[in-house]
Amino acid sequence: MELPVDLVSPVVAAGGKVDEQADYTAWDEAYRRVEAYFSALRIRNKLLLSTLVHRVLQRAAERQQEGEVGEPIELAMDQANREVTQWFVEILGLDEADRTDPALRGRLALLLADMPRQWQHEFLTDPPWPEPFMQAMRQSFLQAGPDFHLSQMEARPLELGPIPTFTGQALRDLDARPHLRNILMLLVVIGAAFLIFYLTR
Amino acid sequence: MATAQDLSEHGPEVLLGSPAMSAKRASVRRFIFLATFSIISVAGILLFADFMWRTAMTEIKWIILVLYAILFTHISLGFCNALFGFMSLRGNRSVGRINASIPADSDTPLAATAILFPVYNEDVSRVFAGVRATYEALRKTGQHEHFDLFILSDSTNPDRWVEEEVAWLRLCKDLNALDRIHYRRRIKNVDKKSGNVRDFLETWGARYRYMIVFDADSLMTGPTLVRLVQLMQANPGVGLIQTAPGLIGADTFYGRLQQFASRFYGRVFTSGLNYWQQSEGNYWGHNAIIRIEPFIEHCELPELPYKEPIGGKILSHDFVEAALMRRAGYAVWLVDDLEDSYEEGPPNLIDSAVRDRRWCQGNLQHSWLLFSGQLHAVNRVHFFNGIMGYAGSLFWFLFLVFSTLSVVRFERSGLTLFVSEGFTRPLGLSLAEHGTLLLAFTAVILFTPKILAWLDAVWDKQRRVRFGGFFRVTGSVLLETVTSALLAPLLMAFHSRFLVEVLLGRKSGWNAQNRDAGEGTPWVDALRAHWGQMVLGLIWSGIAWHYSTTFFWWLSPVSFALVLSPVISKITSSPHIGRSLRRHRLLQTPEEHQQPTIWSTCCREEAHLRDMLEKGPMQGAALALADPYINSLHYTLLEQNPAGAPIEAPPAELVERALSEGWDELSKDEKISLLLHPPTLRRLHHELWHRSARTLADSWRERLYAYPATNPQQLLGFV
Repeated sequence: MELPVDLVSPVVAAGGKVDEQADYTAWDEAYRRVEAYFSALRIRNKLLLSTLVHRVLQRAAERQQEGEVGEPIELAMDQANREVTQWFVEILGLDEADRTDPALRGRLALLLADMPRQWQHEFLTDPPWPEPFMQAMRQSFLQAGPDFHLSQMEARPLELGPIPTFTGQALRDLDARPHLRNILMLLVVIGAAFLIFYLTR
Repeated sequence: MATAQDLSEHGPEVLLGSPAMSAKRASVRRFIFLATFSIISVAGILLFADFMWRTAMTEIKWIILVLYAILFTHISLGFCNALFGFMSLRGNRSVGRINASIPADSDTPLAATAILFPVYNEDVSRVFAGVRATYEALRKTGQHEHFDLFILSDSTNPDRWVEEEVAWLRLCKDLNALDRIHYRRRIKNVDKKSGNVRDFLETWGARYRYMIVFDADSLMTGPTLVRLVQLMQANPGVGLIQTAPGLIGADTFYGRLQQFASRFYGRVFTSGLNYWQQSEGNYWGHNAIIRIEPFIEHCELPELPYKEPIGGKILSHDFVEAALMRRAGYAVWLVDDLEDSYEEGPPNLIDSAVRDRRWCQGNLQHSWLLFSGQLHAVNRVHFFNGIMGYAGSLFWFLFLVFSTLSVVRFERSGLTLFVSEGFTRPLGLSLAEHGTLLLAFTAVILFTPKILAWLDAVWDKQRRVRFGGFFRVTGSVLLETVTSALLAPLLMAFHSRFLVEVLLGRKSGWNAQNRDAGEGTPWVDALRAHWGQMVLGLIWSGIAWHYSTTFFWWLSPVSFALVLSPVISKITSSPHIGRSLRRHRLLQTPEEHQQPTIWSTCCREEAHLRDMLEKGPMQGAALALADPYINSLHYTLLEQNPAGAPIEAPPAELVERALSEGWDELSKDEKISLLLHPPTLRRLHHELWHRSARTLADSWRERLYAYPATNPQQLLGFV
């Protein structure tokens, strides 16, 4: 789904650069990127999606107006990222000391809490959030396997018997004497040829 | 936990695992089996030796006689297995069977059991469909809390790796089973499948009492899984119980032939195997339950003398693990009367040969263990039989070659055939009649197993109906017999080549097994795989025709099959013929007559999962970089991966190339190095979404912008 660009244009126009074709194209690109990003987060509700994209672009345009340097796409995605990360910090109750990346933790929590299916309308909203949603987000934790219970497997000696032991030794000895090995190989071939010759006489 | 030593003090019955049979009775069974096998083998060999002698024994005939003796002994073993299996099926089914050790409706409490799915670049949709079907089947039994499922990945293909993670999370979410279904990928594939299982045992194994080892394509119903655990619980002296998996899901002519053969003939063979091997059974690598503690303690594989492929690390680990388990004093059983254990087979002859190449190397390595006095004699019989599965082909080939040389020699001598009397003198047989008798006797030994399996089905109404009714069963057996006779020379040529390659030191690769029929083998592939056989067949036919037209016609079943090998390979690979036969209910198996729920669940889920993995905004490993959820998932799993050494950061220029040139421009190793390093993964995800269009590859932009247009149902199930 794509939003018509004119919805965003008044916002961009506030920056006074709307009549420059290059800038117009760049903001269109930014618009598409942010929309794609929220779609990748499985925001499928068109109204919600357009509202969020609109809000992010508006704030990005304001930042540009305030003199922040950067292409529209960078500013817009940075703005989207900031908003999403801040929202994760709040809803997950993370503090400064928490070394987990809020975005990584938050995205996984969104998925495990089934946000795309059940709580889409809560995405990027201000508190208060429904208690079940908050609980689902905070309790969502991915564990690939249970706790380790370490043990060690070690091969027990196996007596192979004299024939394999001798054969193994002989093969290793032959490897150590490649010339002898090649001569033996040659003798085998000659022997086979002789055998065929002899047997057909 | 009681040790085998403790248990043996309670008497042999406990150790055998079945109260229905004593060790003495098991010995009597083995004696009877061995005596029958010996009498038949000796009779066949003597009949042939006498035939040779009647036209004067020469050096070349001695070689032919020895080769015949080896081959005849091997087919006699199959004959005896089928014969005793057939009689056993008609007798008291509760005697000498591990399944009879507890009542059918036993409520024996279960214990913690891990179900392992070792995977290596397999079809992700099929693997996870199987996991789902298994979990759902367990849930229906109400006993699923005793089972944990582990997908143990050794995949080296970056696309498969990420798809496995996606499929795993989706499955866990759908089934609410994050604490029941686990996923782990090894960074280094040390020691292949056996190393993969060992890695599980060393990290998690001690949490469980049993493990049930699956293959990537295995399936077992819930009641069967529960029953296996109950059997282990009730028989603490048993270390391993192997089920007899039947093939399922074949579509092609070749696949359905194998499927029919395994389901139709398999019963008499496995019943016969169980008759004489009893508690000294074998392990076939999957669809088996294993007691973990003794396995950890006793079943680590020893290193073989000399280097690979002849020695070194053991490739076919299963037979050896069974032998080591038996050496530790634990019984190993084959549960031949427990149905609903399935696997899939290769769809065509070429894929079958690729798999055989690996097995050939693995089985030949077992030669080192044949003479070990520390292993049970029955385990050494298993090793020998496994080796003969491939060496037998080479012996057959040599038998035919020396027979040809013998004919050439005789024809070149210009002598007249002088026939003397043999020990068949009282019968007054001419040489031609003697030859006919010999041929008939060999044919009886060769084809009786098929006839016994046919009788087994014909006499059992339920079984007959499940295989399509009397006429279709008979038609299917005839069709299978004729086609397998055509395929046998081709397998002989393949196996002989593999054996020589291994002996010359050529290693086998480790390929994922192909189960997808596609549209059959293309002509170009068939010609590439079989041109050598075709040339061999033409030369051989030419020599035979030149020296003796009689011999040419004797040899024709083999030589014609070789000449026509690409055609046979192509035709048997056809899914159209396979489906047509299915419509006519030929080569029908009970699972085609009535599809098991577990299989229909698996098929439905496979189609669903394939659809999502293939039709989303992007596929494979690219998802781990671009998709916000999959990126987090992949990152988290990397962080939790019990990797030993720290992961090296990939070079900055590679990261830049991935962004500016596109994902598809990187090699497999380059992709893996990016996917392995968590900070790089985080950075790539950030850059992909934040970079301006000018510095980002077109392919990335297109992929990112595909999200808004993608059908929600195709967003990997995370809608």
